[in-house]
Order: sequence, then C-alpha cells, then structure tokens
Amino acid sequence: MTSRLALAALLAALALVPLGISDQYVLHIMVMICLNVMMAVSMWLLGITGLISFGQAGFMFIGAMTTTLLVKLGHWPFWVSLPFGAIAAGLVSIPVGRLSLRVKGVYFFLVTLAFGEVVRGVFAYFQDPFGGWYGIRDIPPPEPAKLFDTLHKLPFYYLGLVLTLITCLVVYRASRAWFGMILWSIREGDLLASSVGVNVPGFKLAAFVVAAFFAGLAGSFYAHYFAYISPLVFTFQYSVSILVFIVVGGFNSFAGPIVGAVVLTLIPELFRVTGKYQMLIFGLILVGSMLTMPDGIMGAVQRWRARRVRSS
Amino acid sequence: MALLEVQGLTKRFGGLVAVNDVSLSVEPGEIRGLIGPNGAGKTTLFNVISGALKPSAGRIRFDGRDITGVPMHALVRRGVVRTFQHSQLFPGFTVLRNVLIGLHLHAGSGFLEGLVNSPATRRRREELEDRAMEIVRFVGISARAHELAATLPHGYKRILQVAVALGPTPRLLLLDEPVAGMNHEDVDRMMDLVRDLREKRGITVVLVEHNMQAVMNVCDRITCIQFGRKIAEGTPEVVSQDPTVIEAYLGTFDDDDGDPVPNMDSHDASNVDSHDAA
Repeated sequence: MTSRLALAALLAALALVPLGISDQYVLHIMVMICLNVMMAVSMWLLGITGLISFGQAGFMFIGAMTTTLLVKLGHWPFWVSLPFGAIAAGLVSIPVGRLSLRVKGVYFFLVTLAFGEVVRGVFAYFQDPFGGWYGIRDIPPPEPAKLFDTLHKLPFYYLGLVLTLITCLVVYRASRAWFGMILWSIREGDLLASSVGVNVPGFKLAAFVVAAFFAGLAGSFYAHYFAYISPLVFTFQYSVSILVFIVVGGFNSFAGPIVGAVVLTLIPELFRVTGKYQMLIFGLILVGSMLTMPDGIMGAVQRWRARRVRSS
Repeated sequence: MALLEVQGLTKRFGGLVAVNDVSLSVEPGEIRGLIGPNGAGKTTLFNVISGALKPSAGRIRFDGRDITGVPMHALVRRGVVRTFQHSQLFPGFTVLRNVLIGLHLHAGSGFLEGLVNSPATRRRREELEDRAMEIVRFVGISARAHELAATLPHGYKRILQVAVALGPTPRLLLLDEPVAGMNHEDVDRMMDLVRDLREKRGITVVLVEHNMQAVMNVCDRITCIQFGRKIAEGTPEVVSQDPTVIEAYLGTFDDDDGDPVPNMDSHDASNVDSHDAA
C-alpha cells in the first residue's frame, strides 16, 4: 500500500513539478532522461534472459530514420509516423534476432555490435535518402506546431514522459507475468528450461523484438525532438552507455535500469562546470560505484533494507 | 504394444560411432535400467531418444508414432521428458518456483496475455502454484519448498530435478544417473520415488545408472551397452549373471572360482565411476 502511494506521489511529481521549471536547459536534461530510461528499460527486458545486445542504438537509428523519412518525404503527420518508427525497428529485429540468437555469450555481443555498425554504415553511405554522414536536418516537430515549439521544451517533456511510462508499464508487466518468469528461467538454466518444453529460441526472439520495438520508439521521439539525426549520434558507444546504466542501476530489479539511467544522465551534467575534467570525474564515479556496489544501486538498496529488517 | 520402440539407432560423431545399431523396446509401466561401462554411449542414446541430438540412422517410435528427429521441446508435449546427469536446476529460484517453471506447458504464456493482469490470469497462476506445491509434496521435499535451489543438499537437488521433470506430465521419464554421488539414504529415497512414479502416476521410467545395487533393486529389465552396442538385455538376475556383462565391467577372469557378482554390488566402485561418465 505504501509503495502504491509512493508511486502515485512520484507520478504526480513527474507531472506537476516541471510546470514550475522555466529553465529550458533543465527541461532538456529531463527529456534526455526520458530517452535514456526508455533505452535502458527495453534493453533490460532482453538482459534478463542473459543476453546483452550492443545493437540497441542501431534499432533506435532505424526508428528515427523511419519516422524522419515518413514525415519529410511522405508528409505523414507525426502522430501516425511515431509508432511506425517502433514497428520498423521491431520488424527489422525479427531476421536480425533469428540470425544473432543462434550464438551465445560474447559472440552475440559481436553480432549485435556488427549489426549496429551496419545500420550506421548503410545510412551513412547512401546520401539519398538517408543524408549520409551529414545526417538529416530540419525534421519537423510534432503537430500542432504552435504547441511543439523547439524553443519551449515543456510539451516535449510531457510527450517523452508519456512514452517512457508506456515503455515502463509494458516492460514491467511483461517481466512480472509468466512471460518474464520464463525469461528469468532461461538465464538460470536454458537447457533445463527447454527440457520442460520452453521454446527457448522463441522466447529470446520475443524479448529481442520487444527491446528493439521500444528502442525504435525512443528513436522516433529523438528525431522529432532534436530535429536532426546523423550516424554520429546512434553509435556503439551509446549502446554501451545503456548497458552501463543497467549495470550501475542494478540488473536484478526493474527499478535498476531506471535508477541507473536517471543517475548517470544527471552526474555528467552536475560536473559540467568542471569543464575538461567532467568525463574524468564521471569515470571515477563509475569505477567507484562498481567497486562499492557490485550488484548496482538497487542491489545495494535491497541489501541495506534486508539489514534494517534483520536488526529491527 | 511397446511404449518406446528404438530400432537400429546409430549416432556417429565424425569417425566415432557412439551408438551403434541399438534396438530396444520398453513396455508401458516398465522401469528399465540402462547400464554399461563409462563411455559406452548411454548418455548419447538418451540424448538421441530425448531429441537433444538427431540420430545418424535408425528410428524411434513413441506410443506408436514416429518421433525420430523431433526436437526436445516438441517431444515434451508428447510426454517424453528427461533429466540430466549433472544437476540442472534454476539455482536462483526457490524449490517451488523451479517446479512452477516445469509447468510451463500448462501455463499459456503469451506476451500480450501477460500485459493484462486479468483476474483469469491470476487465477490460472494460483492454480499452477497449487499444482507445483502438490508435486513438491509428492516427491517429499515440501519442508524446503521456499528455499533457494542452490542451497539444497545434493540429494534434494536430484529429487528436485525429478520434480521439475514431472511438470510437463510425462508418460515416459528418462532419468540420467539419478543417484550419482548420493549416500545410501538418499539412494533409497530416490528409488522409492522412482517406484512411486510408476505406482501412483503411471509413468514409465528409463534410467541410466552406475549404482548397480539401485539398478538391480528397482528395474524390471536391464539393457547393457558396451562400445555403443547392446550386449545384453533381461531381468536383473539374468543380466547380472550374463558373462558378457561381467566381462564388460570387470574384464576377463583368469580363474573361474571367484564369484564375480559382489563387485557389481559395490557402492564405492560404482560411484567413483559415475563422476566422470561422459
């Protein structure tokens, strides 16, 4: 009951507090947090099967490119093209998943990494229609244009918040349902799972497609928020940083990827004033957190709670 | 009619013939033992029958239907379930949850269905949990139902493995060395369980085992394999007196005075064997 109240309070705060923020920079950081949470949470769903995909930025790029082309060349309205970015990423992920899920462990990392680079390479090579290395500029904002004015980030924040909440709700429900329990069991013992009738490749593929779908959704939103996409944005490094969000937040609970994405988006911003030392400090904090909290922030929180229960 | 019928089964790995033209048939309600020295091909035979490997030649029929080459997860639906030589469990799950995953085939686990946490879905989940608890009680480990599988003692882990395999309601259960590395009490407990599987659940059992005393006690018939070939088959009494079987296990005797059987009863010798069985 208290946790429900806390959740309601959190949602109310997320909805109301930004109304009092006029600083566009702060609102921009909040939109970035939304994007990073979407990416981290969707990748986490795949992660609970024991698989780490380094191709998530690739699916994000496919989502971004799809909606961009639909709006710029096909003159589709944003609200129609937005889900198509996600659907396109989901469709592409089916053959990619079928191929890459044949291998395990580091080989899966390598195949997904290669996929992400192929997506970048293809979009960078064909200047028409993908814009090449220059990328595509002037992607129209969502309608109505009066509301979604690039200089005022508040409506973008609310759009991002809604998309993030949808992503979180779907992934959370899926992870708690029988579907999610089977995903966990695949990580615990895929051989045993298949011996009791679990279609292990099928479940892995389903998780892979869902993760790609929401990465594509995040990409769609990204394109219309920044109004600019290029192969220099959706890089392998970005896929890695999503993994870092999850690991620092904690792999073993749903809150982990969210907490990780929020904290690690904020930390570099807090040290922006230190100029060239910003990334150095960020790195030190990462190393320190891994040393002191090997199972992530949420893992540390859980242990602290368990200790408190025992001592009381 | 035989429940399981294997005809001329051969499995080659490159130049190595692990299983060579083996035929056997198991009657419904039978407890069949599969014995043979290390590397004889027992586990390979298991892997082929359970669908983990495809045979190089030969046919397998289950309940009158051809199941040759049917993959494991599809075979489970037809009622052929196996356990593994090395403790395969979901170590981070509780005992109850391990068994619950075993009930996967009864769950109906669509992705979209899970998104709507409807009362029907919840009721179904509760039913499954009741069923899992019933299985945990049946195998006699309900006192530990809420412990993590990883923390169980060895004997309990092996029993839990059988409990997980009961989830898909097997008609034929293939047990790969169920009592490997167990002490006497645990062996007895496992053998009682194997008998219960037949008496109370009507499950036909085929088990690979190195512990001769256990095999002789519980099995109706025994098939002995050496170098991938079947060398003997029959009741425990017949097989344990069979000269080719004795030779396979003990080598040739120079003098015929000694009773060759006591060595086959020895627990220690057989348990040492089973550890590095491939």
